[in-house]
Amino acid sequence: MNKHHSVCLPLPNNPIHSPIPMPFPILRTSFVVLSEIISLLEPNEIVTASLCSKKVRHLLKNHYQRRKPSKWRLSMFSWGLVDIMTRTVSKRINVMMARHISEQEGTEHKSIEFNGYKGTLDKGLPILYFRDHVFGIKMVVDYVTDLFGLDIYGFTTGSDGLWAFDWINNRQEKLLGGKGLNKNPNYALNEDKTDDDVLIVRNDVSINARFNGKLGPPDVLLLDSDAHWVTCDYLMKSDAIKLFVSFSKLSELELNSFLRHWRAGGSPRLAYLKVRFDDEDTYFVNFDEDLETFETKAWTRFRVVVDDDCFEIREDYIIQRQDGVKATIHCGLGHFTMFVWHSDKN
Amino acid sequence: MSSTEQGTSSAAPAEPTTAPESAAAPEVPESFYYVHGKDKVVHKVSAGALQHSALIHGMISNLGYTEEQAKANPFPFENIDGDILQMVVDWCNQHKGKPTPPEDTNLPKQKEKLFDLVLAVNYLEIKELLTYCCKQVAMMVKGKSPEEIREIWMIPTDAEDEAAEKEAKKRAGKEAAGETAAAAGDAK
Repeated sequence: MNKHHSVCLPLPNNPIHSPIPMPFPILRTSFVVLSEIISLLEPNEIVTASLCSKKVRHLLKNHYQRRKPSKWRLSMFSWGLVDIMTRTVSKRINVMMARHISEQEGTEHKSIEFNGYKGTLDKGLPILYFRDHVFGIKMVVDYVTDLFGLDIYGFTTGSDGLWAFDWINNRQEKLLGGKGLNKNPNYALNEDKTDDDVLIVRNDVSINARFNGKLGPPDVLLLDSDAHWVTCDYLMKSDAIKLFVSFSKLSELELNSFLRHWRAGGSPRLAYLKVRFDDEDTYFVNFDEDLETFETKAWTRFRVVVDDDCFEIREDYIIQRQDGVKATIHCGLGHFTMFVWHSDKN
Repeated sequence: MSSTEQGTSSAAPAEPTTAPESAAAPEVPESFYYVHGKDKVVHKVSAGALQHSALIHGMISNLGYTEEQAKANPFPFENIDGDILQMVVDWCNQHKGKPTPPEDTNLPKQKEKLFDLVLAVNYLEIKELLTYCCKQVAMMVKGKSPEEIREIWMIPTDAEDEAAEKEAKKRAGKEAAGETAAAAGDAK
């Protein structure tokens, strides 16, 4: 056993001498207490604690096998980062990272070690360094997914991370089912529609060549960094469930054309379309008459990702498809949003 | 609300002094029960305060003790140190009939007692106090490295675990050999 002290101890191997509080023999507590403590830790703290010993790692793994954090969403980034979204899109926590050994931090960070690999703890984030970065990324992702019993839900990649699509698809049943679309940075994120897993992918490669046919159309599509090039024709062909277009130069004429296409039965899977205009002063107001839109004061909510990420919609426009499906259109300064009310309630 | 006195569980405690109640005192006289820990110091606690403890609440809910009976039969918690029980009783009194705030400022301050407090609170099934205590335990490792966490939570290293396991196996082997030898001796 460790020699434990009841006073603040400097750690000889660590450059940062933070005071050590009074020891608490956690492994001598009951199952109930242990579970309560674990449930109060953030995911990055769980990962750090799991590096203490094999026994603790098994204990934490067992905890998450029993209490699967079903609402947590794990994402990997091709540069080696793993993060977990615990409740909402905005509540994301970096939990572990693999870096190339050439990026090793100086001695200002606390040092850690796992399986013979050296690392540092940077603001609560365990970072391990590897000579083979791809090997390290795989190891770190495997480690975290195994610890929490989670699949990879989202993937963000640069052009050097394309290997990961096949790797992810080979390691789990939930495939990355989307296609990349953007210049950079590239991104893939599995979003919730209802209970289904859907996916966002962005990347800068020739998407059609790489993903078409193999992975099918994307369920969720983010065009977020430089989507000037997105045309009405492109929107019509995307066939996504949720479509986010940022820095758009789409004109009223084009959006009207898209709405006409949708009313005629086009983009049948579309549940959510968010267009952020490049010009923040753009305000879409002129609907073509043949679209038969009408104003509504009704108040409703639309769940974009999880329950905590609901949009409240009021005082907007209604448009109806020829088959009866309705959509609400919200027009604000600099953006245009469309919520489609499918019979499955989105 | 509570008072303590030195005595034994069987000895009838002297009339405890009680702190003045809030202005809105209940119309029906409140019932009191008595508990003591390892040190045999008896604490008089109201049923309202004891409601925080699922264990004690379950014990008293069907007793229907009179004041005299309650006094004569304090609940013995021999596995809880007296000072720890005092902390728990104090907390229950402070939070009697009140919604517990998200951040509790009335938590026992003696960190060196946290482990014993957690054991007691868990045993007495005081859910909210347990959560507060566990928050303190969780807070201990914020921003700490695995090495520091090992120190704080007294977690053995893999090598120490392996050595302990080896030792345990060795001991078990010896005991088994001893039993076999004894059985063989008996057979003769």
